[in-house]
Amino acid sequence: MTRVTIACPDALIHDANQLALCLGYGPEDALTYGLPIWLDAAGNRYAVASAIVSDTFAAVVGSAIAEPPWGADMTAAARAQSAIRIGGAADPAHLVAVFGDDPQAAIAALGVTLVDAEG
Amino acid sequence: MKITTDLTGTESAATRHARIKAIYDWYFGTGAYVAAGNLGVAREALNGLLTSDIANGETFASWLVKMNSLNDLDTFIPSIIFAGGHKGIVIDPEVLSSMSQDTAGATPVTAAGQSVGRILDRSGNAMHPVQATSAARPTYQVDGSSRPVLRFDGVDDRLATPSITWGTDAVTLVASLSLTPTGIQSVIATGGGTLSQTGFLLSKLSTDRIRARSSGTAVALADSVASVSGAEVCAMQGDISTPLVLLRRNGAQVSSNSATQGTGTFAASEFQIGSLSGSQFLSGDIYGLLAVNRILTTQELRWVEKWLALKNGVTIA
Repeated sequence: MTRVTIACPDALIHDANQLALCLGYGPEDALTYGLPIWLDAAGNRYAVASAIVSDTFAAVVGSAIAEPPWGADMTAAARAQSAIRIGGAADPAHLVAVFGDDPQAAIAALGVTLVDAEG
Repeated sequence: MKITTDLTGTESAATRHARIKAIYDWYFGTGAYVAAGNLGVAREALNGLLTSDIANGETFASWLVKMNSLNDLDTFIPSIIFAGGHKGIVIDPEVLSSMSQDTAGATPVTAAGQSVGRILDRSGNAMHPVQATSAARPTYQVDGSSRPVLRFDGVDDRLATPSITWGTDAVTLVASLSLTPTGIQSVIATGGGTLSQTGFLLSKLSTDRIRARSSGTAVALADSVASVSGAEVCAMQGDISTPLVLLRRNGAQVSSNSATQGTGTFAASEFQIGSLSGSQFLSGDIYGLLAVNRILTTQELRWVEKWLALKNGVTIA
């Protein structure tokens, strides 16, 4: 098992959630990418998800995907799949995935920060 | 601290009385039995904690049995705190069987590193926190001292209960945790998931200080001075009508605020663990937590703090 942390640009959230439906375990995985509350240095907005995944995750993501029993928009999922990039800083044109056990280190590598107000 | 008893029902009256005194003092605090004055008063007080009284002729061991508490603080503490039907929640990752990887309980958590889709509420209220989205589930882990924890990644992990009808304007919340000193983090949040409704919140500020927040139609805050530093037991109490919000760390009060909180009771809402409405994600470990819709007595609060301190190894005097 390994951890992957993925920064999803605001414009790709719908597509990325369709891909998450294909790779996930149920219809609730359509909510994998939530609010675009992370910002890069240029002010671009992202939703970020981080999860423990199988060691074959990277290979699976690069392979042909099948529609899950609970359904998914496969055209959107394919768009998201083609936008995946492994490693590097968050990019408004790509789903950037960083592998590593420490999610905070992954966030640093992505170069995004959470915009929050004190509670 | 554990209760031990070997009462068989054949002990002398003096022996039974001595054990009643010992357990009474354990329950109400050292010296409480003397203050109560006599055995009858003590017995009535203890009976008052039960839904079914100890009958004439029963030994004091019956009280322990009826409290379902023999040598089991993980059962004993919640049974006391929620006796009488108080609302709230208890989660305890030390109880491996209380966790499953899915939300329905079909796939149990059996090893460190597995995701937790549901952890059972042990308060008796059946307010089980769940996370349906796979990527947003915290993981079951053991810390460097082999203590079980729920680990939140600070990115998207969070759990939420069904809506809890809180029903009062008071709360006591105690959490055994270890927070990473990064960003703003919400440990526990209620109030319809927004900051505009009545509710309470325990969080870590951007300055790494701890904040207790309690609000009716107005908001009162109690912030710590010291920053987070490894494992600790945080407790907050909030009361809208009194009004009061106070914050304790490792058994000592560190901040309080008696500014008005306006009016109202805490709104019925889900109980969010590790996030405030999809932001302020918790980065760190929860060893256990308890929340109840009343102000615990000083003695009760001390028990809960000590009980939860056992789970993360913090020493509370």
